[in-house]
Amino acid sequence: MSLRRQAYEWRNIVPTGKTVSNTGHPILTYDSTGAVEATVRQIDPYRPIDIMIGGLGNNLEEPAELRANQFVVIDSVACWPISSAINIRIGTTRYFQDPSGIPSAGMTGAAMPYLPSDATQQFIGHYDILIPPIYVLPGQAWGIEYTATETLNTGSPVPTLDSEIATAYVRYLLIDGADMLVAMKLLESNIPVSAETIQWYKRTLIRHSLMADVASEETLNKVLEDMERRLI
Amino acid sequence: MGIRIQNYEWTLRGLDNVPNSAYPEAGVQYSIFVGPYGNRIEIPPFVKETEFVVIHQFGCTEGVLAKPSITTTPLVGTTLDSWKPNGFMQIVINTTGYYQDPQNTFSSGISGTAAPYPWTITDVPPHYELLPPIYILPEQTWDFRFTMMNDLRDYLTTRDALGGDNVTRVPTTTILAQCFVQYHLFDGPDALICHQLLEMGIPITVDNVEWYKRVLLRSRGLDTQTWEHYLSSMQAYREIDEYHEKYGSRTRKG
Repeated sequence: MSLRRQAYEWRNIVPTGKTVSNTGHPILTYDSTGAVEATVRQIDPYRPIDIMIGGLGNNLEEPAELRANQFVVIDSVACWPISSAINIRIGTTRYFQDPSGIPSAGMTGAAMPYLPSDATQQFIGHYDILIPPIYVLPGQAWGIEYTATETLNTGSPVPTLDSEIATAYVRYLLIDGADMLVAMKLLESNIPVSAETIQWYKRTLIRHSLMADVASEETLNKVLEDMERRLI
Repeated sequence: MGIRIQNYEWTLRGLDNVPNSAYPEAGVQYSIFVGPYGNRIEIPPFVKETEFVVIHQFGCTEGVLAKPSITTTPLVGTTLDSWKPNGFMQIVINTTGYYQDPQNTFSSGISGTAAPYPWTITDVPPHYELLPPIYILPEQTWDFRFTMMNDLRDYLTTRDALGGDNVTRVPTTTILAQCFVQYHLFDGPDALICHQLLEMGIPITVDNVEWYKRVLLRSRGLDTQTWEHYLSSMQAYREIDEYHEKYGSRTRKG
């Protein structure tokens, strides 16, 4: 499975008394009245939180880092609520910056909303996909930073609606194995790396190989025509 | 019937008067085809020698919080009328999980929020699209695993512990979770064409299989196994591809 469409989702909901769930999304339990036994953790304004290892909500045990045989194309990010923003970090560099060149909070939830099922307003957003997409090369570490532009979930309350949960979402294409080599080749040739261009490049390789085979067969036939036939 | 679009819907309903352990355990992956819960089929999905499967869409019930709705009716008792599962779907081919975390470990998969099913008129298009689609080759088994992160068993047990009217049953009219899978099934000669396209690196879609059939018909039974034939087919495909790109009838979407 060399080309795989992956997605990672982060939420700030954790079982009561906890701040982080290091094993992914936590199991949520409910009391007899139907209230969830979990809280949405307070998020202070303008304090970026790494959604993978930030110590809040569902987390991973290790930071995201590509292996030598992997290549990632990030082509969609989204977050909720609209008073939050998301930035992409490659190594130590933030992708979104303000016009003065200083890293900003990033793309806001109003521009790229990750709508919960019970949102009262159906935001469409300005973007669905990032054009151009972001490449993460083999060996590079990457992460997604979530920043609230106002205090969210003051006092870490028990949520009653999905729209009270802060969420972040990233969708990416994971390329590994032989396709990673093709992706690197495309990158060297300044051709956009996507599932389609990788398949196109593979088709080109096969076609060129066939052309070479046909040409060598024709050459061989021509050489054989000119040669005297000998009986051994 | 060489090319067929297929659908599979899995529904987990209430089972009325059964022990709470009759419902799925939270945090555990269960097959929607041959798992012990909901509707099921007898034989796990297996692609026969003469078949080829392309999975291109799936989804499950959306929502994070369970928001249980309880009704108490005299003589009938207390019933659970609605429940959101907080579900995730993972695809497994043979023994390999398709979805993995950024730390390269097997994950629960895609949530119902990212890939909801069913859609309602207020839903915006889902965030997750299965592009490129997944090819299941002959002799491979495949499966969809559903994980419920809201603990229904625990909730029912908590209510039962209070006794009296709090003892809650889940009627069969209550839908607890749903999953949906849509795929193309190619069989017979069309499956062979899928293999030819795969060898040439051409995406396997209904359009491309139909196009290749037209190429074969034009060759009128001549030998199609030569290099020249492959070459001319691939050049023809390239021309089509360039045409689509030039006139914008297909976008290069990753």
